Amino acid sequence: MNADHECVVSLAHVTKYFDQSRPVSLLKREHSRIYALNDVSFTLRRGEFAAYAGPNGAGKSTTFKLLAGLLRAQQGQVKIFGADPCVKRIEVMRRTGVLFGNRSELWWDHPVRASFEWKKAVWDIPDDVYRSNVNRLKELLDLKPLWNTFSRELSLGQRMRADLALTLLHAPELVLLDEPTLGLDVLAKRRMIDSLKLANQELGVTLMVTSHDMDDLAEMANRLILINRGRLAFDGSYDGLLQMTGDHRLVRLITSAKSPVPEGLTLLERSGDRYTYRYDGTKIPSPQLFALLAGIPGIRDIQMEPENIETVIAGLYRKWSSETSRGDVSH
Amino acid sequence: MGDKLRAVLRLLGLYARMDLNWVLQDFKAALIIICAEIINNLTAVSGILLLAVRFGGAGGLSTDEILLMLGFFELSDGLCYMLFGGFNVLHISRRIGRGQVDHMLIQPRPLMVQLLTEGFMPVSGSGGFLIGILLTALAWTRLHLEVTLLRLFLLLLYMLCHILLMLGQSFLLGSAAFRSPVVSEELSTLILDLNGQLGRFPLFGLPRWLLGILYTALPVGLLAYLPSLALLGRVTGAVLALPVCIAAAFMLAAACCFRAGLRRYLQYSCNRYKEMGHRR
Repeated sequence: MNADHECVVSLAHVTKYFDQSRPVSLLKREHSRIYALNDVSFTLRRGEFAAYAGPNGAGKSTTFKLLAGLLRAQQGQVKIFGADPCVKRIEVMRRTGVLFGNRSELWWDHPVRASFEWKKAVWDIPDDVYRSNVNRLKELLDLKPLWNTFSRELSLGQRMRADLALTLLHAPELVLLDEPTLGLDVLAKRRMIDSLKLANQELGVTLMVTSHDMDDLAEMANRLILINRGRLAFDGSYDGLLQMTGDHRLVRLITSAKSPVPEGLTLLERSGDRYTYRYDGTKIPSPQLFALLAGIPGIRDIQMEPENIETVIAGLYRKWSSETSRGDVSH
Repeated sequence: MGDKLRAVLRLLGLYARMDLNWVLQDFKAALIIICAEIINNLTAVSGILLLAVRFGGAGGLSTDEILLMLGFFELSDGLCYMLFGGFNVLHISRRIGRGQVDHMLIQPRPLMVQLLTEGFMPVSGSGGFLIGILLTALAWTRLHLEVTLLRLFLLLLYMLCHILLMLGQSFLLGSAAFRSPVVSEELSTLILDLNGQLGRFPLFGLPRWLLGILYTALPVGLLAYLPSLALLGRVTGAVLALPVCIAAAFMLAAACCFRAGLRRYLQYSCNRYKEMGHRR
């Protein structure tokens, strides 16, 4: 494997399906083929921070398992650092950190410290690297108070922090995080996001993160890969996504008058004298919007903001689910 | 090869330290667990031993010879438990069926190295082994057995065979967990328990066909009975090699099935789309 390989992750026309057989009556079974991934291609270059999102059952975890060498694709090529992770598992895992949010790599019946010492031995981390990384991660993720606590006694948020630190302990070049903000409170989430951004910006770690919290993803990652029913639905920047879906913005008015709905704006909500409208920023430029609002009498306050990315993506998911059912399920 | 061996030894040291730490963290609880294991092992041997004492021997063996057989069983089984009892290595069907193979696959170590080291618990898992040493030494003294190189070699060889037979059966049946986790776990536990129960019985006087089965397909006769006969000098010739051959056959079959299962695991991973599901 070439250490200077610019392309850290590469999926080329990857298809992964599972055959399923279900009893429909006492003697009859129904066979189906579920495409977790269908002809998916993308690459991640060194230092990129990509958010990998999609509705439930879209194929996110399958992708992560393929990347971590826990699954083999039926078609196409999966490469990490230019090598097949199933074939060169040991070499790939030395340079990769994997964290599945619903699982823990911590040793349950031991203090947090013991899991780090365990990882040092199993990953062959040199003493000086270990000491410096442990100190940095303890500081970054506020692990000092937890250091001698039994893993089984940690709260979910504390466990996630300890697990993330453990994932980063061997200074991996690539980190795959499946739902790392799962169950975290606001402060813990902030810490997690900051430490991931820091790892990406200062250490040049390539990161790929899944989460259902789109705002978290938007804050962390500079690239968004959306997957839907096993197919790549979008790959680009958040700005690119907004261009595709429309640059939806919100205007909130407080007015004493009964507010009409100006042309081009959609009334989303009314509560007493408070009105919330949505409009497409690409169709209604700001001067035109101000002119429209000037026509509304009795305005006491105006607030304008871009629509929450989560709402944008929820709209996309709704659109996808209402589309004709996919043709890739054969009975 | 040298690197691999060094890695194995280093990891064994790591798991030994972790085991010791576990014991020291809650010494009272650990002591209770160790004592319970010792009592459990003593109970397991006492039934047959009391029968032998009451009737002046059992199954063609004198009381002291029975004691030697029981001592050998505890010694070998205790060592097996001490080496592979931790983290369900000996009950590999549980690891596979409960989706824990993922944890192994993300470690930058060969699976063989992980399986050879993870189960090591020299402190908390030593109860059976200590009882085995005690019983074997007692029987050895009472039988006035001479300590010869051949006898020591046979003792060590058959202890190794005992461990390989247990591991071989566990991995052979456990590999089925890649396909059918719950069934495999039930079956594997049942067979390992059966080995523990029948392996302590003297088999003298059984019909030849049954003895044949108990020496091959369900090799409980090779766990302690035949080895103790060999140590007593009651069997000679080709029969002496039987535990080695059967242990090798089981390990070979287990290795093939485990590899095939692992290939399947990479195809299907967890059992999300599997009929019988799996335990969590």
